[in-house]
Amino acid sequence: MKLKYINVRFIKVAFFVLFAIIVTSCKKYVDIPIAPNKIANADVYKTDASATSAVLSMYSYSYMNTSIGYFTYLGGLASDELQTTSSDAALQEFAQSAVTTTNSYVTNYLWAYPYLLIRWSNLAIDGITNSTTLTPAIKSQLLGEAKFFRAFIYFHVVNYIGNVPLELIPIPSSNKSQSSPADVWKQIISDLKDAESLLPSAYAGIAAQRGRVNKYAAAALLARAYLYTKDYANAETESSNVIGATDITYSLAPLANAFISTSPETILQFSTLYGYSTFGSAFRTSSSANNVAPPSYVLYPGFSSSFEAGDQRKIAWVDSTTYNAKKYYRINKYKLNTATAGNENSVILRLAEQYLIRAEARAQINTNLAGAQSDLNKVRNRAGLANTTATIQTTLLTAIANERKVELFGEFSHRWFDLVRTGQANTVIGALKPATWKSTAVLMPVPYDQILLNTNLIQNTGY
Amino acid sequence: MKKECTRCNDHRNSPELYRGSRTILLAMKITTILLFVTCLQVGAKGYSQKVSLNERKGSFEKVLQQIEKQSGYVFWYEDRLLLKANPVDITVKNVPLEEALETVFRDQPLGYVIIGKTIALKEKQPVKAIPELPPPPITITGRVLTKDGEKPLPGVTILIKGKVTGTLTNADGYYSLQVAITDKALLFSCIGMKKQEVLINGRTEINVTMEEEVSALNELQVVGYGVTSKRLNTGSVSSINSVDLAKQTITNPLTALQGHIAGMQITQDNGLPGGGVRVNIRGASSGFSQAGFVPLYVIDGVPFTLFNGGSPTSDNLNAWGTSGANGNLSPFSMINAEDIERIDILKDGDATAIYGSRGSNGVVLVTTKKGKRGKTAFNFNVYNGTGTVNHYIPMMNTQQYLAMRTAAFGNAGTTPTTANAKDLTVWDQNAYTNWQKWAIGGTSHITNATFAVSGGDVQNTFLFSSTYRKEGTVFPGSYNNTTFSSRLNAGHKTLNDKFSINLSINYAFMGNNLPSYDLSQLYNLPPNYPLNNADGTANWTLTNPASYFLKKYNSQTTNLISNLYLVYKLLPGLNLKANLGYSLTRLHQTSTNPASSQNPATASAATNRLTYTDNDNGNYIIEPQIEYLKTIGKGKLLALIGSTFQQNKSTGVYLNGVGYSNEALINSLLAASSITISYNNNSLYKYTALFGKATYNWDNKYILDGTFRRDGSSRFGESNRFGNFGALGVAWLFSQEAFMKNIKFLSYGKLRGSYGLTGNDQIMNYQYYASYSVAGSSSSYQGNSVAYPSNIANPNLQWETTKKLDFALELGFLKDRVLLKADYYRNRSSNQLTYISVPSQTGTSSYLGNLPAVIQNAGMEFELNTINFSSKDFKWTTSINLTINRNKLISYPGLATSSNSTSYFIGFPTDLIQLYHYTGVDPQTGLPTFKTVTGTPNYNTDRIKAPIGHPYYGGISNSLTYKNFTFDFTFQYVHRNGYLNNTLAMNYSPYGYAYTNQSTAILNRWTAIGDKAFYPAASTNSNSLYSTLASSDYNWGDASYFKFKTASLNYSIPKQWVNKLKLSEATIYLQGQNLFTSAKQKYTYDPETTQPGTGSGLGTGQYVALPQLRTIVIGLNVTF
Repeated sequence: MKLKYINVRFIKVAFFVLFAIIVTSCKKYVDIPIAPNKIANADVYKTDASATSAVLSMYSYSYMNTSIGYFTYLGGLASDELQTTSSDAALQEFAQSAVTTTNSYVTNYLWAYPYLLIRWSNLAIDGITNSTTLTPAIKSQLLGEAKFFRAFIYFHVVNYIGNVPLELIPIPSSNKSQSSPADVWKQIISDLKDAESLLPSAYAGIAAQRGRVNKYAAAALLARAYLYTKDYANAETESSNVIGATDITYSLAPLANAFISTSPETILQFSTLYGYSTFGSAFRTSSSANNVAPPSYVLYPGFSSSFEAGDQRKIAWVDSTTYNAKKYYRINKYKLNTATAGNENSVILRLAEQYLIRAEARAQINTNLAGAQSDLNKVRNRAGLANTTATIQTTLLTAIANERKVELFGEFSHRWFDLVRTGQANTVIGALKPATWKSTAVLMPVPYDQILLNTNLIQNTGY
Repeated sequence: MKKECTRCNDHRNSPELYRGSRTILLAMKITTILLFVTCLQVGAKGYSQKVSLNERKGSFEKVLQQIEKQSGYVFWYEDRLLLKANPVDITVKNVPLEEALETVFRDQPLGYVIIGKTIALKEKQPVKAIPELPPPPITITGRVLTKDGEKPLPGVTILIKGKVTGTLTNADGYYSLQVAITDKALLFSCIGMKKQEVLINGRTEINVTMEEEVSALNELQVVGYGVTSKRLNTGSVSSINSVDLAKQTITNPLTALQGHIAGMQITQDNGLPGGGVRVNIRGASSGFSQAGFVPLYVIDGVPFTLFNGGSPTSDNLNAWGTSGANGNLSPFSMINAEDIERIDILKDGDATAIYGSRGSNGVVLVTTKKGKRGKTAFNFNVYNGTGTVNHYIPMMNTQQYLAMRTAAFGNAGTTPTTANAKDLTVWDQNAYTNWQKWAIGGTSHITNATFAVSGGDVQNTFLFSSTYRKEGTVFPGSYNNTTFSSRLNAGHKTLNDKFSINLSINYAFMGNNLPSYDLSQLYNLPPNYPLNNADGTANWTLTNPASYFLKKYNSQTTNLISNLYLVYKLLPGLNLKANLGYSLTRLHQTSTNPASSQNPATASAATNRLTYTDNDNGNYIIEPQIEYLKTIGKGKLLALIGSTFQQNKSTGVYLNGVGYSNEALINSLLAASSITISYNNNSLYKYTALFGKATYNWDNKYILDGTFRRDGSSRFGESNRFGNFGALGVAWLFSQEAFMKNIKFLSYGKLRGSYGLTGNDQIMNYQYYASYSVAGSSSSYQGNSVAYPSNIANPNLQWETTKKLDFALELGFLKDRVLLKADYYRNRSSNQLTYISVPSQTGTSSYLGNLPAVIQNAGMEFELNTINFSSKDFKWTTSINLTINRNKLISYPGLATSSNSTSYFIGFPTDLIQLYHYTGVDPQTGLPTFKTVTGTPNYNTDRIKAPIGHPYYGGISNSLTYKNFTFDFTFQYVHRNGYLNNTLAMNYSPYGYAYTNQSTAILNRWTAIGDKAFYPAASTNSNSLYSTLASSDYNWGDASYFKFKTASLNYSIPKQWVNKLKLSEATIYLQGQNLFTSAKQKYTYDPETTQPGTGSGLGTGQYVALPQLRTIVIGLNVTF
């Protein structure tokens, strides 16, 4: 009998112990370590290596994904620069400057993808700033790069759409309303100033590739931002910083070599894995034989007449293809598309623009017109053109605007932004597309589905 | 399986019980009891052995040992008896054995009896004080066993004849009952057993064996963590056993269920060996949900749902790998059908809630064969046969095709040239190749051989089996699938029956050597397409058909499943159990794309390529359990508590080798000039649970069953990682009620109902936390690896839940010769795991979360089993099942603003298809016309909801036995709406637009102004109206089909002949599979095929793939 009693007690204890084990072990049991191919957000910015991997993802994503390419194509289509051979109705809306609020390119490439990169840069800025374990030099390099990226994206978003929400924290709020363009510009300039002071002159990574943001890349974009916000003195200062750089030599390259990966003109390019420019390839046909179908984006029919007689850029940077008895002009700045071991990357910033920024800033300030002429002539001379004949502010500004058109075509919608910021769009594009143009078309719409999801968003006028 | 002990009691719920492995204690008890019964009358003779003993407070056991040593006699007893023994005081010297025993047992509560050289111990009956009046009651004790004496029968009702008093047998079959001296007889009754009346005749010990009452209701059913019978089940369970499995020539056991199980819809992706199989139990709960609908498969307690976090969710072995012509690889193609004892499909909440978060999609329990006690049996089964395609798509012949092309150019106003119309200008106008016959017109050969040895004694059982199978294809060339699998099952029990152990190990290899492209898809090549040009070079106008033979796919799968099952009987009625399982599936695949298989005109791009993948999936499970059985009043209680610890780890690598200078070395990565890693998968899934179950069965009349489970899954956020699930089931066997006894024709009647909550966690791993993902080398930046921010955190991520309601009526007529089961069910899934839209200014457009939308699957299931005729020589049985399922979206908060607003509608099925409404051909232009608002078809406003009709499916099986012949056949029927012509499903261009042949349906097309044809004109001008046409209801309607699924003729060779050959059994059989299909839609090979890689849309048949073959085999099955 005693034995039995012990057994029962033993069983009771065993039960209790078993349940204690089960209940306590359960919670811990399903706590699993993070997957080997993942890094928890909290750990990313703890080491130099993983923080670098995280920041480099923005470069990788930018050149791999066509989102950056659309910054070029969409503005090109909206202005008098590009035309598309695609029958895609949404692209045709851009070509006719009659973009609708449900246009998928606005939804994706002017809103969703840019904000994706903004989230990534916000995550990086927050993570790096709060990290106490990064090597100081790496920390300021990466922080500078992240701030550059945020400014770079906001620059395009604010130019395309105007009133946009200013998301600046890693866990963004989904009902944030729009900020005024002035506030966005303020943020862009502040980020770029930070980047310029954080970054060294020397290029990180493979220095010869100029594939990582350095001090001068930040200064170059800052110069552009000041120009757009009409802060001409600062625009002149920043572009002078780049043009006058001594620790890195920037110089204008011969036209044929201006876009190759070793071009001394390049201030920043995204090093692609393939050896060709990912967004430049849309200006080339996919087939190696160029005499077949035209590429997706070709120059606007009248564009080639913008070149002055003797302009070598018309020869070096433009070529043509005839297809179905129709002649198409193609942008020929990049020569490669599907090369496996080519020598081209995706150029983001180059010196010629800095000369034109400084020329415009000087012309606007109107105290150093000779300096403005000299900067303009640098670009003209490289293209085989004689010195400008413009001598007074108004003619000089017109000359610079024309020069920007023929120098910067097919690169990040310079033409469209120039037309908008100088108030020319209504006249120029209105004359070009009279049936469809509306003065409110200078800003693209806020995507319709986003207004449904975030009722605090307000649609741009005219949509 | 049928002749088992437990039909009286649903509380003998351990699989161990029907494994035939109750051994030594049982045998001992039987021996003891039988000896008592038969030998008590023998009387004692004198025993001459002398014994000397001297003990003070000595242990009883020690004393017995000394007697054994001195006398040479052996004591037989149960350990429990010794617990009752008192210490012994004895001093004897050289006394006869008998005298010594008298002394030893004088003060003990035990008695003994000597039989031969054995002394068996028994409990003494308590001696009652004798009252004066009334006459003393007599205590009758005894035990109730099955007829063969092997198993005790618990829960047997024992009544005194003419009185209402009685008792029940306990867990080991023992009973004790007080009767008056005037009582004459006892009545023994138990459900599933024939009633017995036993005369007392003054005995105090009455042991009874009871005979089974033959009824399908007594067949055991395996349920979650236990067994029960069809009769006593409170849940909805459908089953198939090895007998029915053996009647089919199948390589994937899941396909054997087609047409047999109500509520279970099964389709095969294609008819190639290893091809994927999809299973829906009571409709897919998924629609927009990202969670999978793969049922939980459990093989002998080890989960076999190999979902490894791929997307879309499936349990295909190659979810992370590459694929060949067979598409997805079904893990069940690794399971040998001949190893399976039975498959039970659990459907309602009562049956599935014990599996908690894994039970939403239903549970499929596979029980493998175990060794059985008895003479060693050798079984050899071999079959050999052929398979062919039994239906070809009617396509146009050369003249019809060329006429269509000529008309296409004529209607477009263009001239055929050697550049755009080689078929009309260059190729032989009279040549004709039937590409279907060319590609899939061959005969596949199948050989299958299984050798099994099984047997055992009272303590040990074993089963060994090995199967070899080689299955060819109908493609030209030597492609095949070879399987070799071996299985070992061993069981052991200790002599005292306290501890038992059972181990199964199954190891299987499958080698799959196939083209990487399903050649059945070549059906629409132009019939005059020449393989070679006039100059002898390969014709690459289209992909040269012969080039497909150069692209080779090879996969080697190995699969280990091991399972250890332990039982320890701590106390009577209290058992400790543990189930330990480990499975490991490894898949190695290569797929080549050599330059020689590519168009030389694009030689710059033609490089040798190799895809090389390795995937491992390891899974372990540990499930300790405590089981408690008790008889309370007229009821029996079973309680079970257990916990689960499960881990699934999958790793995989997917490599691409490019740029081989030597094509002959294409299979070696070493010879590649560059290797890229597409992914290196590595995921871990852990799962834990605490579960309990209690069943109370009152007099086999009222049964209450409750289950509870608390689950934790590593797939969910910390705040919601654990979830509670459970169910309540009740059954009322109203035919047991006294008032029903007079209704003679009704032999069985049960009403049951259940309500339960189950869950689903079939989503990708690691979704709840925010992380950066390391990208592959193809995304590196300046040679530096990069890490992308991936999903945004959702710590609230939790289970998708399904509330299951089930009501059923089960009836048996004419002594259970007619059995009818009707279920109504309603499953409502909510908390859908889906991508929830957020403003993309947050940097993401959606995140994985739980949406409180509700999707309902409701329906009716019917199962009817009849014995139509039964005599000594002839027996005919029929089984019919029918399922009607209706899927409906009940609610969806925020549907209007979600990205699903144009795809899903409240009150409509979630697999709804929207189509333009076709209004016929414009007789003037030959162009298709549609019902539109503005005149131009508009995607958002002009599409209508395609009529879903009234889908249902079912099957009929018949079995006829005449003397030594058995003939079985099964039909399957699926009624549904769907696409009527699969060759048109992806056709966005006018007929004759390109080098594409069309089905003969297109002969009824517009050819001249004024024609009133159904199909529009041929043309070489593309016109968006034709892509509208492809999305219109012109190709939609009744796509039902009927399949003569299987037929099997068995002849068992008469015993007298068999015995002469020293065999115990021999059967010759002829079996046919997929013999005939009658489908409303003629323009596909098999209306059942489903596009691989897609999630839901099971069996819409919108896809052209190699059909399931018509297979005919002849076989021999010998046991000796």
